[in-house]
Amino acid sequence: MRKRSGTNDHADVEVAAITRELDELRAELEHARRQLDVSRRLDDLADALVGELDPDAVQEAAAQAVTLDIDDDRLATRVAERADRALAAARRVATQMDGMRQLERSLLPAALLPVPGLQLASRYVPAKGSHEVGGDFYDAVRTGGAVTLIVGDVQGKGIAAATLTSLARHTLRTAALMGGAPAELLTQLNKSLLYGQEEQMAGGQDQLLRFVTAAVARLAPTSDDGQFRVTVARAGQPPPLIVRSDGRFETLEPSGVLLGVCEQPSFDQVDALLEVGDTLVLYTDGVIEQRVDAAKAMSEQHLGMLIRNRRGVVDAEAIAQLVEDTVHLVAPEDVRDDVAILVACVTRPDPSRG
Amino acid sequence: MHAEELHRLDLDVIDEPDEGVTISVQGELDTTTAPHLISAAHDLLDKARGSVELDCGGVWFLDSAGVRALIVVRNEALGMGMAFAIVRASDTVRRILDMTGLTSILTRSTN
Repeated sequence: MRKRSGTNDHADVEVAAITRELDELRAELEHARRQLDVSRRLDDLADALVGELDPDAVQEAAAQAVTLDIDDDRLATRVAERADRALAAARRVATQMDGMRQLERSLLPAALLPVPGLQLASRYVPAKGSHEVGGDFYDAVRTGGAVTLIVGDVQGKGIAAATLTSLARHTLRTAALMGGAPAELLTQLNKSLLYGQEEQMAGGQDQLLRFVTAAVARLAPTSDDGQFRVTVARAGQPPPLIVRSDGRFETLEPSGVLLGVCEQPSFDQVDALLEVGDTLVLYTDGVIEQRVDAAKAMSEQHLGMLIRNRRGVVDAEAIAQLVEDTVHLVAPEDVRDDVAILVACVTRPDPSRG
Repeated sequence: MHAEELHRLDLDVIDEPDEGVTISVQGELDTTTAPHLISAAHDLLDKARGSVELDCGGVWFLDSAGVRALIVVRNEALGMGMAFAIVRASDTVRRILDMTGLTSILTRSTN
């Protein structure tokens, strides 16, 4: 601290000296503040590096770090090094994720083929913050004037789960193409899974048990008036929903056990008649993986209200979007698992068709 | 975050020499904790006789890895010629067993 002289003669000198000192202090403080800022951003960068591995966040932090005005050479070097590493990591992760997303897309149909008298729409909502391939899938398999809609989920994540997802989807698809009823599709996949498990056990890999859940709905036109008969079977998935044209809600709840566990499973089938303007909604999971009862929320709270508000409007895309929005509403921060959504609206029959 | 609380699982074993063994499972049975149940049950099954029962009354979260663990333990018990049953289930567990169609397979009702 500076000692004050206490005499008026020296007052001007004194003031000038204090001003100078204050300026120096201010400069020092400014320097300290910048260093603190740098160190804080370094922390952000480090967090981004070791934490979420979100390529965008890492890139952002790295970009910020390299634009810092740093007058300490050692610090500047450290920042530059870490920013370099961060950018490299971000690029690596981005490449990996790109590959994962490609694999994920290959598990879904490239398009939903048109089915006369129906409007189809689908959504695939990846789990938030996940960098692994999800195990969910959906499919629509057209046979004659009918279509079999499938949603499912393979327990677990990653490449191993994805290979099983592929097997599950194609087994169900093949059985559907051969004209099987929903319960038969599930029985077939169950057999296939148990067979695979037996092989694994014979190969000494007895801890690889993975089960599959699925819901299958076959929609077949009943006559020329546009009605469809829907037949549903399910194995450990939430019940498919019917939203009637007047907004009423129904769930189709045949009993059935998840696949890959039982030798002799039995799958019930439930039938319903879909009129013009009615909608069938299939969606995966959200029940097992999430900490809320999504099925309840899905049918009673958000979705029911949202769809009732759209009374009379037949738009499969819009309803699929509503279902997706509902998934986000139900589990905004905690979507632990992917969600697959498949929607079919019964449209007015095309008069040009015989 | 309360990450520690989020991945807690408590296992208590009640071993009754003539009756078999009861494992009381409490907390979260999920991706993180499921392996503990599988390995604990595996170790017990080597020594136990008769039946294996799981008390899941204190399980307040169950995900698909947890469901898988229940099936793995059940399969191992049956494979060794022992009876298996979940003797008590919390609402969460009951809801998920119903949804997955596993109620009749994993609980005593029809086993």
